[in-house]
Amino acid sequence: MSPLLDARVDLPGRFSGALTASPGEVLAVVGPNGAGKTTLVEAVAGILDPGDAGRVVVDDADWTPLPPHRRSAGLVFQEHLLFPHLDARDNVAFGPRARGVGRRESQRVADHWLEALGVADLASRAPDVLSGGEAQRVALARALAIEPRVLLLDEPFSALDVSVAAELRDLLAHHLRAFQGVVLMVTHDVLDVRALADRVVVLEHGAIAQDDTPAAVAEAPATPHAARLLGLNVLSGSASGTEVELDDGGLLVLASPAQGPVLATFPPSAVTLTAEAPVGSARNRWETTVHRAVRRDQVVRVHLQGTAGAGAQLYADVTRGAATELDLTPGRVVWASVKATEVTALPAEFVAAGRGDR
Amino acid sequence: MATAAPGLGRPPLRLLLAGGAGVAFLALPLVALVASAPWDRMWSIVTTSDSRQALWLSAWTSTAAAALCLVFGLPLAWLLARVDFRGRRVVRAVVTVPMVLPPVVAGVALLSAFGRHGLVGEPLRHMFGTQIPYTTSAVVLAHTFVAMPFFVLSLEGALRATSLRLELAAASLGADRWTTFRRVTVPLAAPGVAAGLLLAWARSLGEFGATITFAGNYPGTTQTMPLLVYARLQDDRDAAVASSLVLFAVCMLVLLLLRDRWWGALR
Repeated sequence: MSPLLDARVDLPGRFSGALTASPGEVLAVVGPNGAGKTTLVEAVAGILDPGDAGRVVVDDADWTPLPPHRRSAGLVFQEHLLFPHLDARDNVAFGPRARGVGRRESQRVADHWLEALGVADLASRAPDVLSGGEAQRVALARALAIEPRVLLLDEPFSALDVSVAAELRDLLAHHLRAFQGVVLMVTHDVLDVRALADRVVVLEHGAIAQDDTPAAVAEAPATPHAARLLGLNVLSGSASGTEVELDDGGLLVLASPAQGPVLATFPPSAVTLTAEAPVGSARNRWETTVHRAVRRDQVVRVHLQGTAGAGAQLYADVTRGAATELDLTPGRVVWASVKATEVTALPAEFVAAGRGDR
Repeated sequence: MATAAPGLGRPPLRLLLAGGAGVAFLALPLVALVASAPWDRMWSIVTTSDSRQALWLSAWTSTAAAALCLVFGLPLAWLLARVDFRGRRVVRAVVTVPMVLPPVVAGVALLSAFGRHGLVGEPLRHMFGTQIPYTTSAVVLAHTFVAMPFFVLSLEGALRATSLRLELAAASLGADRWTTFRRVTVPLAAPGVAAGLLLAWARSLGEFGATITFAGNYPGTTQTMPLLVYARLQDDRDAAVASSLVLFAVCMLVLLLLRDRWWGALR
C-alpha cells in the first residue's frame, strides 16, 4: 500500500528527516524542545517551506507548492484558537463554509461534529465563556469537520487539567478509530502515547532518532528524552566492557559488554529498595535519599536523589506495604539496587546534548 | 490614577509648576471660548441658513472622506501590517507625509495634481470635461488626503495587534487570504476600524488649510464649518465664537467616544 503521507523536510539547523504514514495511523511525535517537532508539523501544514529537498506528498498529490488553505490538514494547537467573534457552531462551520459548502449544510455539519465531541449544547456559546476543555472539544470538532487527510495535533491536551485531558483523550481515541487520515500528534505526555499512538517518532537535534511502535520504543528508547517520557530510568555514561562509568559519578555494571558512550535504561519496577546495604546478586547498588513518594493505586513511585554519586535521579516502584515498612518519607536514606540483567545499554548517539532535558 | 514610581519621593516643585503651566495654557483658550460665547444669541446664530448649510456640508463631506479612507485605507493598512513587500518602508513614509505636511501645502499639491492644468486634472478636463477644484468633490478629496494617514496608521496598529495564529487557524480550515481577511481579520479589528474612522472623521471635520486652498470658500458648495468660522471672524465675532463652540462640542463628543481607544489604536 502506498503511504497516505510521504513527507521530507530539509531544513538543516531546524529539522531534516523523512516520514511516511499509512491511512488511519496515529504518530506520536516526541522530543525535547528544539528537536524539530513544530518544524515538522508546520511543514506538513504548509506554514513553513520544507526546504530545498523537502516535499510533502499526500494521497500521491504533491502538497509542497500548495498554500495552507489548499491542503487538507486540520490543526489543533495547545491553545484552542477559536475565533472569538463567532459562536461554537459558527467556529466549526467555518471550515466547510470556507470550502464552499452552503450555509445551511455547514451548520448541519457543525452540529454533527459538536454532537460527536459532546458539546452540542454549547453550540451558540461564544468561545470566551467556554471552559478550557469545552473550547478544546470545539477546536477538535472544528478540525475534524473539514474531514482532513492529515490531522495535526500540537500538544492538544497540555493546557488542560489532568482529568479533563484524560476525558478528552478517551474521546479522541474513540473518534480516531474511524479516522481514515493520518494523525501527527506532538506530545510530551506518555498517556497520549499509550492511549492514541500506533507509532512513536522520536526526534532529537533536528533529526528522527527513532520511528517505531510504542512498545518497541519503550523497550529500547533511542534518546534520554524518549526514555524519560516513557517512564524509564536513564543513566548515561561511558562503557568499557561490562562496566559503565556514569557521567554523574559512580559505576554501573552491565550484563553484556558495550563500548563507548551509552545510555543505560531500566524500568522503575526493576529497582529494589532496602534499608541496609543489600547483600545479594544485584550488582548495582547505591545509597540514595528519598526525595518524594507518589502513590498510584497500589504502587508507590519513589523519586530518589543523589544516586550513583553526584546528582542523578532515579525512580523506583514499590508496593504500598513496602513503602510503609521502609518509611519512605522525604529525606530518608535507603539503598537502591538493580540487577545488571535488568539494565539495557544503548549506544548513546544522542546522549551528549540530550542529557538534562525534560 | 496610580502614582508612578512609588518610593522615589515627592515630584520636584519645578516640574510640577512647569507641567501645571502647560496644562493651564492648553485649557485657558477653551475656557475663554466658552466664557465669551454669546449664549443669548447662540440659537439664532447656529440656525441661520449659512450655519446650517456649513454644518451639513461639513458633516457629509467628512463622512464621505471617512468612507473613502475605509475603502482605500483598510486594504492599505492590511498590506502594511501583513505583507512583507519590497518598499514597504517607502509606502509607510508616503502615507505618513500628509500627517506632517502643512495643510496649505497639501492644498497646493492637490491643485498641482487635480487643478485645471494639473497632472491628472488637465487630461480629466479634456476627456470628461470634469473640473475638480472649487467643488464639493474637492472638499472631500482634501479631507481624505489629510485624514487617510490617521486612519491607515491607527488601523495598521490595530491589525498588528490581532492574532496571526487565528489567521493561521483560518487558513488550515481552508480559508484563502481574502476569506480570512473578510471573516477573521476585519471582524477582529472592528474596534480599531471604528476608532480609525472616527479619528479620520474628526480630522476631516476640522480641516481648513487644504480645503480653502484647493476648494475655495463658497457658501453652499465648499464652505465647511471651519471656513465659515474664519469668514465670520471678519465681520461678526460673536457668530464666529458661536460656530466655534459647535465644532468644539462635536470634537468633545468624538473624544468621549474614542476615550481609551484613541491611544490604544495609535500605539
